[in-house]
Amino acid sequence: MKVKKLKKSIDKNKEQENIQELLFKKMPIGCILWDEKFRAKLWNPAAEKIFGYSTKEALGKHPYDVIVPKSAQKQVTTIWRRLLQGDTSANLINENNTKKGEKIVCQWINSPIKKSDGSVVGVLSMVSDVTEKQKYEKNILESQKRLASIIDFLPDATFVIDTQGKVVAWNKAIEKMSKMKAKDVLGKGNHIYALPFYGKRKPILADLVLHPELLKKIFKKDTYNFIKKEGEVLSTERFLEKVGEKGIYASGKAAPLYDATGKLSGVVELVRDITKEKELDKAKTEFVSMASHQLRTPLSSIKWTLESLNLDGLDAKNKEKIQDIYSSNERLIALVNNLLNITRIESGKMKVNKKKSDLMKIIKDSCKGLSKNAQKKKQKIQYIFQGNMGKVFTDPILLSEAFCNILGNAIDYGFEKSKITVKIIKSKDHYLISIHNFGPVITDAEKGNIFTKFYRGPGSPAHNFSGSGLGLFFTKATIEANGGKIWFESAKNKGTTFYFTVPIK
Amino acid sequence: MKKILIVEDEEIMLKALVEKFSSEGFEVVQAIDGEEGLKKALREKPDIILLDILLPKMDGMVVLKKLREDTWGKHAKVILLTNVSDAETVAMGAEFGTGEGEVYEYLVKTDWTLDEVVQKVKNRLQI
Repeated sequence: MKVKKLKKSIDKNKEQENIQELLFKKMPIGCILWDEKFRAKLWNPAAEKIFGYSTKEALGKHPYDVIVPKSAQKQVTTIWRRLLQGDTSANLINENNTKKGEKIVCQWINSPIKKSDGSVVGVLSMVSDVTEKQKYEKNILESQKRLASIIDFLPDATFVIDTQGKVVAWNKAIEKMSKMKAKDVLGKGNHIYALPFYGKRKPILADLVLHPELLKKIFKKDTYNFIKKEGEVLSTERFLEKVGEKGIYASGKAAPLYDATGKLSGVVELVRDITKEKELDKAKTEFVSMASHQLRTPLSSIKWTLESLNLDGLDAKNKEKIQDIYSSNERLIALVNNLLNITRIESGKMKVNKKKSDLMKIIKDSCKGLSKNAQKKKQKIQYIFQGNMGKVFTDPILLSEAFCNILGNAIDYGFEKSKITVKIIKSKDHYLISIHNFGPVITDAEKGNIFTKFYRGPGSPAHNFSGSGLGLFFTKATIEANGGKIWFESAKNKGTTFYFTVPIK
Repeated sequence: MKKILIVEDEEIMLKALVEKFSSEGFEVVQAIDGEEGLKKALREKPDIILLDILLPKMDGMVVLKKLREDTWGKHAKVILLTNVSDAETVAMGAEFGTGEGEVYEYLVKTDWTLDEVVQKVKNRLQI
């Protein structure tokens, strides 16, 4: 349009002339009119700004004398010839010089200007400085390349998909693991990345990041035993029988990727071969299991021999000592049992026998032995039941062990003469059980460790030898195996409350 | 007087069990390995057998299996003694049954006092 208008202005249309003049002077794009001998006839303020030559300096000059460096002259000559022949598409991006001698990159859009007989009398050029733009593009391209090579050489098998599920990165390590080359995968969608791992196309961990609603489907088909979510990162572990010669144990992590505006742009997934770790862990578990079983034989010998000991001839002091030996042996037995329970959790052999059970009965009957401990410390245990106490679908033995562990802690860690409150509240689909005591506060520093193996709180009473540091670890595992959750609150002057849930169905 | 066969390779444990059951008025027969246990079971036809699982010469589970092949042994009452409470062992025992409607019964030694063992035996014999 502008070109057309300018042409008209050359045709001396008076009224339009003013507008043309304004356009020419104010437009932010450089505008230069060349005569048929390639000399500048018009040179607008924007062109002055780009090249540093004033209109005065530029007019009448051949561009090779001012703005076209030697290196670009061959190119420009070719373009000029095409223009003289009436070519309307002879555009070019080339290097130019400014008056100061700087090299810049300019984009030229050129139109030949013809007389009514069709002969070319000049050329109108629109020019913009694209140096910065090109620099940005180059930078982006470079950082893309750099990122790609970082991903490429990550030691863990890694791939990236976009929101359409198309593979945008497939690194060396995953090429090696999957035996599938990047060139065969890149740009392809429809779950192609699942092929080397499962032998078929199907949604995998990375898809879950894009479509969380797939979770149910993925579980139904028994793809994963568990999926953990930490922040936005999903992780899982499973055996991949199609990978390698004998299959591998793999740990997968998938995380969302966002663009600069915060919009989801894709998913990165890492797959790590953890077969060796698994084997080592298994060997350890088996060793602990074997050792514990071996320990049980002498422990029961001691137990039964002590029991069959005739204490008639002994005085009270010696009788007490025998009782002490018996108690210590019992603690050892409990420790071994705990160790075995843990090996069972770790090897996935923990049997969960869920059946319809009477929750109230489990709570009231299960840890009678503990009330003695509470009496010793002059503590009171209060039970509060809210709502109908009906049946639950759970493993009664595991539940009772879990409950006793928590109540036992409440007693052991509770102050003397303090009150312990056990509360059971029924809600729609589960029971909430809370056990509250007054004792040392669980500090923030301890909070992360409390459910880990072999952790004993610094608040552990010194006289309490029985703590193995396995209780809450085991408790958490059993409650979760029963489909429940466990957590706690602890604050100064408010005491500590452990909560856990038991699903009704 | 009820006759009990105790098959247990740990001598100390065997001693404690024998002493206890004798003082409770049982006639006690003892065996220290699987082979001897099976032989004595078939010969003495006890009212009840306490059978350890981990045994030299013949595993307790094998003893149980062979016992079940005998016409008398088929219905003999057995309580398995074990150090193992694993699912695998439980499953194995269930396969062979422990007599009397084939209800499987086992006890983890460390979890029971001698008195409780006696009580369990008495319950089983309905005395």
